[in-house]
Amino acid sequence: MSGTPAAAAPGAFEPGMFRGPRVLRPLTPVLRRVPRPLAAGTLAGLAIADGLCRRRRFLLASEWAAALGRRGVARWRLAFALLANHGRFVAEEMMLGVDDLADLRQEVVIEGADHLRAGEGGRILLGFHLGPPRTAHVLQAFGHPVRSAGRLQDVADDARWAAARQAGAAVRLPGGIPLGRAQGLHRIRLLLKEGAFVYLTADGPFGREAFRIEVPGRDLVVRVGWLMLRRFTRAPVHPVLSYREGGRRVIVVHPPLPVPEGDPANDAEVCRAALTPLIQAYVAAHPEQCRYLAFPRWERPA
Amino acid sequence: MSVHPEIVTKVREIIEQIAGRERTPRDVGPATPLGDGSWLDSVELVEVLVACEEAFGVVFDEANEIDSGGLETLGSLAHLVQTKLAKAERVP
Repeated sequence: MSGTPAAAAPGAFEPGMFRGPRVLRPLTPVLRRVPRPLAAGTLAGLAIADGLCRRRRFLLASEWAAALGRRGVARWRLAFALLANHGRFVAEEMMLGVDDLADLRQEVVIEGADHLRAGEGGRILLGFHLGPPRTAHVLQAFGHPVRSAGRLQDVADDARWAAARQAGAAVRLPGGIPLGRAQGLHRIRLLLKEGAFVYLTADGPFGREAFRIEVPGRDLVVRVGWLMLRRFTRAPVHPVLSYREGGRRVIVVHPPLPVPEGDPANDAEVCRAALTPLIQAYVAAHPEQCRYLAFPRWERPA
Repeated sequence: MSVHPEIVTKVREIIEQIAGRERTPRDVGPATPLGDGSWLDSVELVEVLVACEEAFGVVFDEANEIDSGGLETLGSLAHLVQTKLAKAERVP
């Protein structure tokens, strides 16, 4: 069903598969032809202009900066940095300026890559909606055997995504009706049992809430899906955090969370205790890259 | 292919145990949907699968059997279990 266990699957993806917001689609052919820094800079500028024109996003950015204790000039600086980050995020999400997935290896540092050695059973790489996107694909570009799981919105008509799913390189976890999401979780469970490495995010709009991690301004809501998968498969769970620093992207693969013991509530508490300092340190160090915390899109989890 | 009533009853008991009696509709039957959001959430659905594996001694090891309707209703899940048992020649 899913190909060779733990097999790398970078060949299953190509940059054109990664669409962006509908509003940008008329510009997409042009943006895809320019170098990555120029595409990212263009969208950063557009995001700032959009924030100032429509104001709502700028006000949210300003509120986020205030919640983090920024005052005066520092507050406005962080608000603008958030807006610019939003544009760069979209550029990276669309893989603008990326001709080949191998291009993703440029200016990337991976810390903790030892945890990605194949042959030691399935692993959950636990991402968060913090920092730049497409972490799983960057890891794939380095040859790490990582499968990605996500909503895969708006790609139902794309045969390339269907092929990636068929190959087990991507798993769809749709929002909304539980059946589709359960099918995705079941597929991940099978992949983990086969020894695959699966990248999925702990936070997001869908699924039952497991616990919250307190950060200034807004709690980060962690969902229960990955906890269930870890309990049933006993797969080690490595938190993975990613941030931009200067011109480079740093991906940190952390050591595994403590082995699950006791009932699910106890396990969730153990994980909450282990994750809280990581997330709080991230938010303190990279507040301008906390796009989803600053611009919440998920007020009503389904 | 009809599903053995014993399997349906046992699957129902498993689901009720996971969802809780207070969240289980009174008129549950083979046609009751499992995955439409009115009863179980996505994680509970997978928990039901795992509990069925343990209770019946089967393994749902192919994604397709779940993708092609095995989790849609109580009856379809019971049918899937029965199919698995038949393959292992352990139909009640």
